[in-house]
Amino acid sequence: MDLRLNRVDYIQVGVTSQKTMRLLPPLGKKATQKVAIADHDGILTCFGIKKGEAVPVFKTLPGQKIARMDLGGAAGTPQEKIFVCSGSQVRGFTKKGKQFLTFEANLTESINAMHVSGADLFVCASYIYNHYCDCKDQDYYLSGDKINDITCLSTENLTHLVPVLACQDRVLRVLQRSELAYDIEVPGPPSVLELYKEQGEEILFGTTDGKIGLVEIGELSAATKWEIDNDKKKGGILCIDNYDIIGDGVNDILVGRDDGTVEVYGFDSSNEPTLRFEHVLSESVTSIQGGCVGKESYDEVLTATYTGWVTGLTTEPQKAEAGPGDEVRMSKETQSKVEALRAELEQLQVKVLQGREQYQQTSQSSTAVSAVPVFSINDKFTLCQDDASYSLTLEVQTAIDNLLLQSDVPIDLLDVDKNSAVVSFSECDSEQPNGNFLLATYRCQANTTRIELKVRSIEGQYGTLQAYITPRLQPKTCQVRQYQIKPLSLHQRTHSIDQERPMNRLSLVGQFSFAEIHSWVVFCLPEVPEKTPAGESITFYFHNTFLGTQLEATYCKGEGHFKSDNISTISILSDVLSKEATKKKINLNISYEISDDSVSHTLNMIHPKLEYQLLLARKVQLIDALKELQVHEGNADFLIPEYRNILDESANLLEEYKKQPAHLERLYGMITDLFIDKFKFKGQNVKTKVSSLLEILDNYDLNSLLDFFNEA
Amino acid sequence: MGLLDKLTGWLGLKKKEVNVLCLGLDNSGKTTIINQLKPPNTQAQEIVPTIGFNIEKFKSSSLSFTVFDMSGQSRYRNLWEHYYKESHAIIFVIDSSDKLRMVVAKEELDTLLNHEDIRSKRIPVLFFANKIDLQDAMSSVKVSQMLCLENIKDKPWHICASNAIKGEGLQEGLDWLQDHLKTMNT
Repeated sequence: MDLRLNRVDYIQVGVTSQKTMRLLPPLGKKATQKVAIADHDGILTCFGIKKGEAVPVFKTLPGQKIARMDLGGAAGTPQEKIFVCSGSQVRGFTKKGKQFLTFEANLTESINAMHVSGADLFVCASYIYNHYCDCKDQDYYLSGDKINDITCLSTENLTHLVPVLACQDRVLRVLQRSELAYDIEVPGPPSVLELYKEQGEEILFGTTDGKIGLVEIGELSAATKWEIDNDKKKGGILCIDNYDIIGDGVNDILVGRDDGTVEVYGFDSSNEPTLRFEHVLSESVTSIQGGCVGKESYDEVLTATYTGWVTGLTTEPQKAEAGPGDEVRMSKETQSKVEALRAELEQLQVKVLQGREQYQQTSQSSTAVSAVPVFSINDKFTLCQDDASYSLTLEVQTAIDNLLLQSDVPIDLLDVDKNSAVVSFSECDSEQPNGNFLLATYRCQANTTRIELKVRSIEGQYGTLQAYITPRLQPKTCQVRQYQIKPLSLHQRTHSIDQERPMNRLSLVGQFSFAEIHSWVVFCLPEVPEKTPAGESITFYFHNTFLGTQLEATYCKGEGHFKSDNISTISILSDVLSKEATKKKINLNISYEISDDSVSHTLNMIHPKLEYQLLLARKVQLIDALKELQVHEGNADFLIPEYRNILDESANLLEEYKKQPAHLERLYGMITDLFIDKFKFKGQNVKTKVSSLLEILDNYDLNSLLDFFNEA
Repeated sequence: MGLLDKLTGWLGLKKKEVNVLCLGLDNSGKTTIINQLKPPNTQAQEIVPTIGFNIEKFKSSSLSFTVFDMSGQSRYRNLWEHYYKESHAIIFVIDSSDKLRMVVAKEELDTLLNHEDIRSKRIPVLFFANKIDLQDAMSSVKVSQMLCLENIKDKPWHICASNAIKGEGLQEGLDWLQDHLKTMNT
């Protein structure tokens, strides 16, 4: 059965953070619920809906940016106390807006995740977890990587509290008091956690790469119940809720993503989640809740977006009346809304005009300083696992006018279908010392608040990518964001690697501290926490998203060991690390251990990809010619089956080919690098032989390539 | 009409009486709608399928309605035409979640509109797309398309989505009907 939901916009507040909107529990049995939402201006607004109009209950004064909101109350009573955190302070409000709690957590950083359960308060700053009971310090934990979210298993059927932390390094950490009980590996960096049922040991998680799963937390270990993969490459998960919107008696899962997608997953008879409803809101969805807001007895999905729009997707049908006549008649509510907006707009126009005149006059003054309006940008620069490219998303609270991208490393910008902006590439002069490799301008269509770009980098080439964002504001101003493209930019953290593969080693010995070598590793590799890990030594595992090769990095004070089955990775690492050490004037003792098998192993790993690409290119070349023949003859029956096959699949092949532009060139580049690096470690310079290597690649055959690698 | 009657009529003390026919297929919610329109203390608690027809009376702000709540069961449908002559308005109720019998409803509507007693009269027809609270209910626009209401040229008509159990949408429909009845007969 399909689910139909109609969109209703309620009000707009300021820019909101993740999980800052909640529905207060209903008073009567079927009455509508009140909505509490907090924004970056520090204003907590609580409102109800009466006859389609938002009626405010209370509104607090502006203050520091509010990062999280949770509802709480004494055990057994309705959870209707509102808790918000801003900076390192937690404040509590009653449902009437009376502030009853101000609690200074005394953390150096600001709180970014919070959970309230009865008298217990759990807060997390970047790496720190703290538990307070009645505002008294109880437990403390320092996590190895950034904490994104926290939740706590309900206490009634468990003897003690079980907090669960969602950490950036792809694990959920289950704590017991101040100790780590165990951790659970999840397929991506988890961004949000939600209890599946009020009472129970099951937790829903959502990851920044768009996967959802359910884990059952046991005493000593956890079991994954199900996971939903992100095949359609939708955005990362920002919020999850469970609520029975379909009305079949089983709680459904409501999901909000950072590309604006709102989804409802229902459960079929076999208890597998299936997608039942999807809607796209064009801005990232920061909070989602199921309940009843607009009209009693009609359930709805309430969402809050980044720019602060509170939108309901309701089961209530929208257009109730109709009559004869061709013209579409507006309902009374719509008419009054249009009139109200028109009146407001007129007033504002007059006001703005006056303000602008005044501004023009004062700007002539020699002593006055023109202040710049501040606007917030929500940006994300992440590596996509399946196509080995970075996706850069930028979101501004108002519409974007244009976006300039500047890069000092060679990168490719790929097309994104969702993107409606017009792109123009400017000519660059990369020969100059401070030359640009890329200058691109995106001019956005009206009302685009969110833009998504794909950037493809090359391993070994590192530097910065800068984005200059200009929104449609008066006066026009611009903000710059910088993104690092790391030397080993295509590596992604994993939990373990295959130890059987032939490995090349790189060892560093020298007078450096643990913090120093950690900062070098942070410089080289993505997804490494900036904070120096606790303990004497640390091991990180990575895998190359493009080739599937792996890297193990183990280091401690004065010593570092890197193992990889790809010689190029080792070569890049040794180059960058020695450069970094030279900058700090530290003498490094570098030793290598090169395994000859590793080259053929890497080539064997590349082989299927290369073969597939070559075949694809060959097939695509033929499509046009075959199509012409088909048109001439009327049918394709006279062709040999192989060609007929190509014709049948031509649409798929072309699409595939379009999706992977320059894939072949990328592979060629990697093989050439591998070839040069292999001989570099032997002390030979083989750059002159590259042309003959390319010749071999053009008539590709794995054995002849292996031979060439061995003999040259 | 005596002078006193006219006077009370002008002053709005005595309400004009109108006869309304409430039609529709069985189980579309006719009796429930009429029941909802009655004053709260006279409303029936339990509603059973109508046999033959019921006569119900209730008052709105300016009109006094006499409603013939006809049974919609197929064997009683031929009763409808006996009451066409004295009716001033028609309420046609449709179960908007019943996609299957929408064609039957359309057929009945067509025979109704082509009946000699109705065809020539310019009487208002109010449609209730009832049971919108159900998950698989169609919108009122969709219902009006399926019934080809745009083909009705010679009569004023109006369609309202309604939920007869809660009483939603009924007042809007009745307001429209009242406006048209007042302008028609004076």
